[in-house]
Amino acid sequence: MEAEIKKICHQSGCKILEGGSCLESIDVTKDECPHFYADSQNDDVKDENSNDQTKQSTSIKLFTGRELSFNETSIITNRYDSKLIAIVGESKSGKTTLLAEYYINLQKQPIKEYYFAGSMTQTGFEERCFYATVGSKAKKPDTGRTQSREFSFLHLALKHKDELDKEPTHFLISDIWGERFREAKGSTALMQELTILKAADFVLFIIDGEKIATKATRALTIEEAKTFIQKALDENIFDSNTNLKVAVSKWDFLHSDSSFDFADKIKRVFKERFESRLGKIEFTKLAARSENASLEAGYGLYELLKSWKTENINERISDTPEIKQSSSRAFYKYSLPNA
Amino acid sequence: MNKNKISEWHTLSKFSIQNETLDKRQDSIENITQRTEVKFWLDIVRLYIGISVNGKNITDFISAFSGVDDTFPLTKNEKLLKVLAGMVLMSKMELATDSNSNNDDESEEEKAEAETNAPKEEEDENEDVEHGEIAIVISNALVNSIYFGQYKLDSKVPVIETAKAYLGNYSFNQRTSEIDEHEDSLNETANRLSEEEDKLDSSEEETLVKTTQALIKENKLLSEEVNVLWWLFGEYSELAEKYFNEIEDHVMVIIGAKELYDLSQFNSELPAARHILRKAIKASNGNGAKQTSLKLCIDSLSRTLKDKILESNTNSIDILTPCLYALKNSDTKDWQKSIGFSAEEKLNHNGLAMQFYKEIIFINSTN
Repeated sequence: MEAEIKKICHQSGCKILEGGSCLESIDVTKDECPHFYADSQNDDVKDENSNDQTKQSTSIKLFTGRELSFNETSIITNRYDSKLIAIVGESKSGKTTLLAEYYINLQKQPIKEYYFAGSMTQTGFEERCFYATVGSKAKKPDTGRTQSREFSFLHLALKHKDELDKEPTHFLISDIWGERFREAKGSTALMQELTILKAADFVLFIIDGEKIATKATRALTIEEAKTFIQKALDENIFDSNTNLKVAVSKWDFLHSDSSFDFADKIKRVFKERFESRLGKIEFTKLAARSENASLEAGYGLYELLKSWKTENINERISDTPEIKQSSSRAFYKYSLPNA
Repeated sequence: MNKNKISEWHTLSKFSIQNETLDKRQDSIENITQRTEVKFWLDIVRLYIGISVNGKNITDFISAFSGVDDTFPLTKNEKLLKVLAGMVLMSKMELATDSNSNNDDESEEEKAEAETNAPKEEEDENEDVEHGEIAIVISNALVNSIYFGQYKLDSKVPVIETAKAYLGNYSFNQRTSEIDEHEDSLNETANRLSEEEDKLDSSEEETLVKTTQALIKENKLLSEEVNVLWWLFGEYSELAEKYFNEIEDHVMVIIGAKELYDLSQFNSELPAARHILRKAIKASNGNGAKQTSLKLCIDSLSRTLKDKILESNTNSIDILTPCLYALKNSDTKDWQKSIGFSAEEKLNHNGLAMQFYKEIIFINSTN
């Protein structure tokens, strides 16, 4: 009689066996879930009964192409110089859409001079793009939501058209779950868990342009963004090394709105309050999936990518070191910097 | 080396590291830091700046980490090795700095325990000197090798800035005499002897010895200053056997650097070197061009002058001293292709002269 093979889900956080639903809403009875397979420990028990000599699990973790955990990013970071980008913002502000659009655009053609040069997380990108494809049968392009509390990273390698013979630039991009962002605003403990923001070379802070376009939610949306940045500064998650870019997403909602002055309401306000405490603060407008005919789709994506690609994040070397010592000898007083 | 710094540099370099691994890395870094072979450290510099390097030194370096950590990646680890090399270099410079300041801080204690601990002190002093010398070699190699921007320093470990600061402090300390500090003690001793007609006690004898040492150093300082000032005043090059205004400014870039080094009494950069070289180049025969290039300078130099500048250092010159390396290879066919950077890049005369000067100091300090 054939023994029943016990299956379990190997994806952390999935409650399918505890009577909950699949984390990714997949019907596991149709063998479609890549995480739901035979329990290797169960195999071991069976093996032990039949053959005491076999003790070890024979399961091998196959390459999935999904998002990487911070530990798993070592397959990139141990070998290559890489740029870590953390994207933060409220739920549905457009964080994942931004990533999905980069991937979708790169599948069609280079983004101006930047060519797709590989990714270790193509499945992760595909999952985020699924609802923007015909196959999803969605009425209009949408994006899967980031649902994990753990930091996960998508990998994207790009080459400049004039440097195709050189190493690509490797990006590790983490879009932080919107719910986590919301909770961290009001909690010191949860804010301090966002250590990834400290390690990031670039932090992209996305403010939902659709909410700003609605006058009833405009002030609150901007205020909440300021609250988060202030809290991050107070908890030393942001500091003088932080390279922050504040982006207003869904700019197509604001493009024709004369009542909103980006330079005054966003740039001036955020600069005045935070510039002195951050390494750098810059501003941009994005419309990854523009629904406004007068604004091209993918508005702002190229400039953002270019700034990440070109900006040097490593040790900055000054031409002339400061001369700190002072001497009473006239011969050395002659040694003035930059003379 | 501070564990928090190691942790921070790992994080900034995007390496995930657990506490247990961090402890092992710290131990490995500290073990490597104790090494005192110049060739080993120059290979670590090469590893850090991205020059392809293999051999026992690199194997030893990797083994120091992998030997205590089973999870240490042995392949596809190029970036990790570079960052760890940076940390090790920082650790060595830090150790040398600490050794120097400990020497200053502990001078009073050493006086008190002079007799009982004499042999041990001697050993410690030798060790400290070695760390200091290695740190100078490391700092010079780091600062010199990257001049043409030919290496991608993809690290957030502030190695180059630390090396520059170390060189600056070293030069300053070498050229600071403590003669003023001993003046009051000497006056007191002189007054006492005139009244008591007694012998010198041990502390007075020590002050006398230290004052004499300070006088010798002061004499060297003055000698260096006077020689350099006379060189500038006389406007005559002994190497070229010509007055400055008879020498092309492209040639003066290299000759000036060599002659200034020859006039120095110490193995570190003169604090005013940039300005002295500027004055020498200004007095030479320029055609008004504000910029030059390495190729132009080298091509303007006669064979005899090249030999005088390279002297007996030819064998030690490699790509860690890019200008001298180009000069050494300049008689070979296609030498420009072999140096790894463009020799035709337009550069400021003074900046290039300083680079030659620093390289000459470095190459002489390793021999």
